[in-house]
Amino acid sequence: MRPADNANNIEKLIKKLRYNGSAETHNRILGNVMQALDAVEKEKPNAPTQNIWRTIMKSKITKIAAAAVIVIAVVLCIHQFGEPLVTGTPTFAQVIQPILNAQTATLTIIIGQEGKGPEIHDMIMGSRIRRTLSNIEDLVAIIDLQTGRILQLSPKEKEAAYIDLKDWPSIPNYMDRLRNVITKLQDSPHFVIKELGIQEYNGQRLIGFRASHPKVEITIWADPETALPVRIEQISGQMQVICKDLQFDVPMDESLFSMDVPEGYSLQQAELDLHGATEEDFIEGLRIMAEDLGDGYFPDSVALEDYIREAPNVAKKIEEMGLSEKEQTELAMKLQQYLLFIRFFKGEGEWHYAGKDVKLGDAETPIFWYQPKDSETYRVIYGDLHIEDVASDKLPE
Amino acid sequence: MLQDKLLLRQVKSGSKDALRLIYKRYERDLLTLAANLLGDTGAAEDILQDVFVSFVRSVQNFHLRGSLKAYLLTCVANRSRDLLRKKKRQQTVNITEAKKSESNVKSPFYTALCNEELQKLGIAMTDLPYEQREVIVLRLHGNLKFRQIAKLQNVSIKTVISRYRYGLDRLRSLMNGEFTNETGR
Repeated sequence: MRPADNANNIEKLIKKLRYNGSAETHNRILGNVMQALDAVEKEKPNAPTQNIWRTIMKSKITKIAAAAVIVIAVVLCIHQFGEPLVTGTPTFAQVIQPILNAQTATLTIIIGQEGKGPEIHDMIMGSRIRRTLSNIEDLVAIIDLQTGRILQLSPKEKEAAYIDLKDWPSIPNYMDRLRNVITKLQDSPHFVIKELGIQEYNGQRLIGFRASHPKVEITIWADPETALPVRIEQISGQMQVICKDLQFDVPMDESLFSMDVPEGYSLQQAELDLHGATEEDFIEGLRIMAEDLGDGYFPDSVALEDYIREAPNVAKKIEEMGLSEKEQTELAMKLQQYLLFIRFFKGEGEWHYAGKDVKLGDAETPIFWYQPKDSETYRVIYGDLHIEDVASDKLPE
Repeated sequence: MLQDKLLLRQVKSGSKDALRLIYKRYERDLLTLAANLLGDTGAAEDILQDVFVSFVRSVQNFHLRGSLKAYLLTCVANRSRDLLRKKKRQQTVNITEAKKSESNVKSPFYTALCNEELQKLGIAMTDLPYEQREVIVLRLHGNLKFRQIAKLQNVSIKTVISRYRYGLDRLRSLMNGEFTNETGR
């Protein structure tokens, strides 16, 4: 049979018509292409840092996934220290009295250090919170603590999303809850209160009290004349939360807390499993943070407050990856689980992270370790993301 | 594909290593495509350079929706077609002379092939209508799907498949005719 007698043979022959070019040719072309890249880099304006959330928020799904964790980041703080406190002193009792009597409240919350992160603005009425975030434009979240549901609204885009929080502990009334917590704290034998005296803060004279417990440390600053608390600092685990600009019994319109979707809004639904994040989810998140978002290096920190601070940069990198909406959703969901693992950490004691400046693939360097509940050994994750069970006396220093 | 997206992001950040990797990954397929479409290795090299320079200049606003390879192949095909059209427009001589001229332009790649059989096949390729040659080359050297080629040529998939079959038939006839003549001598 002649070589070109059938279609297969002619196709095989055509495939042999290849031209690879010489090394010199490719060096020349590549050199010119690199020059073009240099020129582009010189002309490139400084990377925009503002309003980057607007970009990621264009995607409905990513918006829901990315914002939800941040929205609920501090809702459970009150719930978390629901064990225990104090033998009150009269003055401390006076300071907490407005909290105990209030029906509504407004406050500003900062996760981490003041001035370094975004601010969360809350209005509280009964079991509902109306929340906005300083670094996410066009987002209003109404959180119903009783049903474990969030209604996220984008007034400009006319978009709404219900997010159901799976395994959410029902909190009938936020202010009641707060009262119960404080009352319990007052009765706890583990709780110690230290009076910090009168100190000047931002030009204002404030009286301070530090209430300490093995699981939480709360510092309350109040106006010494009126005994109204104006600032509460709380350290719980590895998370610091500051509540400032506190005001109580502010008149509010009930409609601001409605869980009904406003007319003319398009609606999406999602579910967030708060306690479903596993070690595998966390490891996958570490891989994404290093490989996809960190140029091969692990992040400086895995703490939620640092993630929130870095969120605009993460959003920018995700945007630059040019992923489809489906891929963006998958990525956002994976990051969500990674954050939830840390936020609702289920291990004993504290977790430890040492991944800063460690390159993905480094099998020798431990980057994260923690003690699972009821385990005698620790789980240690290394830079190549393999895990070892390690006795406490052999933990990294 | 995710790897391409990651490399693309790094190029957007100014990474020369990432750009080099992309270039090295696709240089041969793109050059082969251009050489087969144009029949001229020098012009093919120019096209390859133009495509990459253009890619770099527009990379900041570039959003990859499919495969990067398919995108670059499409760029090479479009530029090759534009180049041939431009050359045709520049011809002021009559059709016969233009054909001769075109044949002269096409020949360097194929005549430089060491294998006589491939030389004949290459020269037979230059006798195909351009649309048929483009389909065959994109399919066999670019591994593009008929659907992708249809989109590029702005015709139906049926038309693309027909062009592919007619092109192969014609090549087979041309090649077999050559062999018949040789063996008949």
